[in-house]
Amino acid sequence: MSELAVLRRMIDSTYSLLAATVEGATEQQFSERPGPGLNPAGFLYFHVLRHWDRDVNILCRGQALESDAWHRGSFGDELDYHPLGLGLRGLGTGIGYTDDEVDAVPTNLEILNRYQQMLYAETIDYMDELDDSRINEEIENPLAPVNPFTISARLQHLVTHTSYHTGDIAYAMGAFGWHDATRP
Amino acid sequence: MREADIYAEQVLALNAYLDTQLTDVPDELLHERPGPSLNTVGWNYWHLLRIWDLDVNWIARGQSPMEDAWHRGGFGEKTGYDPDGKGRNGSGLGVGYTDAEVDELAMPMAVLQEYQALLLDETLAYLNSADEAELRRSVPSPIRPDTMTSPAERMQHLAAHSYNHAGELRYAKGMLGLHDATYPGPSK
Repeated sequence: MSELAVLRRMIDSTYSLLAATVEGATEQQFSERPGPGLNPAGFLYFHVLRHWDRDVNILCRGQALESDAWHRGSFGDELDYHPLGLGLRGLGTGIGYTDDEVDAVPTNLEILNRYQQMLYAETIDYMDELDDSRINEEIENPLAPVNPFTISARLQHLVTHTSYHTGDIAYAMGAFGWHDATRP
Repeated sequence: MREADIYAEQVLALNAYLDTQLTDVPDELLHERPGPSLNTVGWNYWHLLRIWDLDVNWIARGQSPMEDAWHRGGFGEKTGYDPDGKGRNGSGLGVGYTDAEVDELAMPMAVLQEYQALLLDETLAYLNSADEAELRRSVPSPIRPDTMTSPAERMQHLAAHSYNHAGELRYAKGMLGLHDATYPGPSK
């Protein structure tokens, strides 16, 4: 199996687990903090998706910050929330947010779920254009020029970052009685 | 790149990630629940290692449950904890544990890290010798005998499952007041 095929299968599984984890979450489970300074599941979901967008659209596909899936899909307009300028280097991905900025992120499950579906569809379409040689070429990093990257590394990061934050989300919702339906 | 080398890279990255996440957890907090029925850092760590053992030793290498790294490494004797017969199908992997069974775990971090190191060594040795045909080999799942799987699928599961539970233990750490040293903190 090619490296690209392995990554494709792992992205499929990652997508499915994330979607299954948030499916059916109650308002309290999705939006409330389990305690002071603890991130709510909805914020974590937003953060995972913004990072996915950064990995695929900004870094791998070379799109401008204002042209990523969040903006092309008009999710900011739907939620009346515009993250650019916030957090680490103003990237608006959730990293480096203050508690107040975390609280300002709209935790609308239905809209964020559509954002996830769009990101997945775009990722699969993009991967169909790639091969193992292409994903291992070194690419200049527009966000940090001293840190060149490969597409393979960003897709691998997408899988690991999404996987551990899916665990975060499950645990945060578990504090409000959420039970993982996939476990006995 | 050989397919096995992809999984070896993933396992090495996972190993480093676990080391980073667990290095600041003192033994006195390892088995403390952050809240009622919320699993401990130590339980999540132990469980992900047990599933790692399942994926590599039970399924990919075809060992019996009594021959896996936990048993060969003598970790039951070192910890005074015998998982055999507990949980779903008595598999002793942490799946299907009751709250009382979760609370039975009280092993020190150093022993869990030793278990992790053994699993890493054995996984890399297996992958070093695993060719395409080995990774594609169809094998029955020991916990779902009606389901066929392959070593390749189990290597992918190993990474995804481990990171998922690493996320859970990260959140549990946060609830216990341990700050993620890899996180940059607020920008303002």
